[in-house]
Amino acid sequence: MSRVRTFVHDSSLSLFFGGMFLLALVGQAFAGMHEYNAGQRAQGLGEISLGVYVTSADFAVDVTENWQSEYLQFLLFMLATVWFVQKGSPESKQLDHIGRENDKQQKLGEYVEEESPRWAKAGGLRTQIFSSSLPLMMGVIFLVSWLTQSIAGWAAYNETRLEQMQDPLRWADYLLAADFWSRSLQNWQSELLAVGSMAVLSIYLRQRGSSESKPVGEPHESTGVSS
Amino acid sequence: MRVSTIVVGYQRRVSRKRFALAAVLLTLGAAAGCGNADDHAVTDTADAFYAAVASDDGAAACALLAPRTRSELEQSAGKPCDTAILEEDIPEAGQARRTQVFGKMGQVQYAGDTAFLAEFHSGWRMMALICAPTPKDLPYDCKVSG
Repeated sequence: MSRVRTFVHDSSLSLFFGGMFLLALVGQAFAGMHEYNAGQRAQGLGEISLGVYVTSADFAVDVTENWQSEYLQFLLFMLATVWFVQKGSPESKQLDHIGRENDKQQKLGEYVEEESPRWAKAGGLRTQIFSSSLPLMMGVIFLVSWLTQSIAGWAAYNETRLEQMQDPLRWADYLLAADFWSRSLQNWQSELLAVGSMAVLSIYLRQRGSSESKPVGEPHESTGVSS
Repeated sequence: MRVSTIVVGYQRRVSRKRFALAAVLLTLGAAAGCGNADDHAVTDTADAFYAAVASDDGAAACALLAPRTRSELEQSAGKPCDTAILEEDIPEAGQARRTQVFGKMGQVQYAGDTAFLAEFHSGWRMMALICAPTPKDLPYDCKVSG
């Protein structure tokens, strides 16, 4: 098998979602531009091109308000599954493994393996950082996305206020505005519902062959087991 | 993305916000810069409008009105725009004190008036003028608007 074919085979999950993401983003750009221009026409205002729309605050806030909530979802799920369990769910670890677990379970200290990552073998601060590197990165992406949402949302909201002949708000005032929290909370509630229902539904339901599901014949009571 | 707050004398200007998506997450801080071309364009349009009114040039003033504002003015006055606009009690605006631009909308505050502008393919146009502030964050009360 050629190197390219091997790469595609070994990374098909990432490539599939990367491709779908780009298609959805392009589709959102076209749909968003038409929606924006419909609003402009209704108010007798000027329309914009796709190039202008994808560099507008409207597009940026619509994109980043979803990004921040997705990364928040995974951040919370990752941290919550350290301390909370769900009996019967493949999304949960074993019921008696609550907490950060010991070095043997985590293959650290004297239990590191030859193929363990360099920072896992290093010990000290580097191993501490590496031990939380995934939620750290998710948290940074969440915070940057949320900050960007706040700035883009502020600009888009002020554009609407000017259309309605109202004074623009300062950014600090926008952080207390209903628009900012409505955008944030409507995304958070849907993400929390989705991840919570996944943890529960996967106790009783199956998808044969999926790593997110228990094997079809696995008992409902089995916890932390996936295909 | 350009986000700027420019203080020039007592004129504080907030630039038009444009967001380059590819740079949003990676270069949020670095990309924040100063870009006030739109601010100047908005202020220049409003200044030109008030100057045209001050010199009784109704045609020039009407050319700077947004299409819907122009037609609303003609309908309510029952006269051509270049006559009707000069019969409105448009105050002497004076020097622009503050310009704020967000997307395709702008506001210029003068000592004597507050104007709202919108951007069209042909450039910035006056959407509302002779606007008085109202309490409780309600929209400005504008005598001429579209």
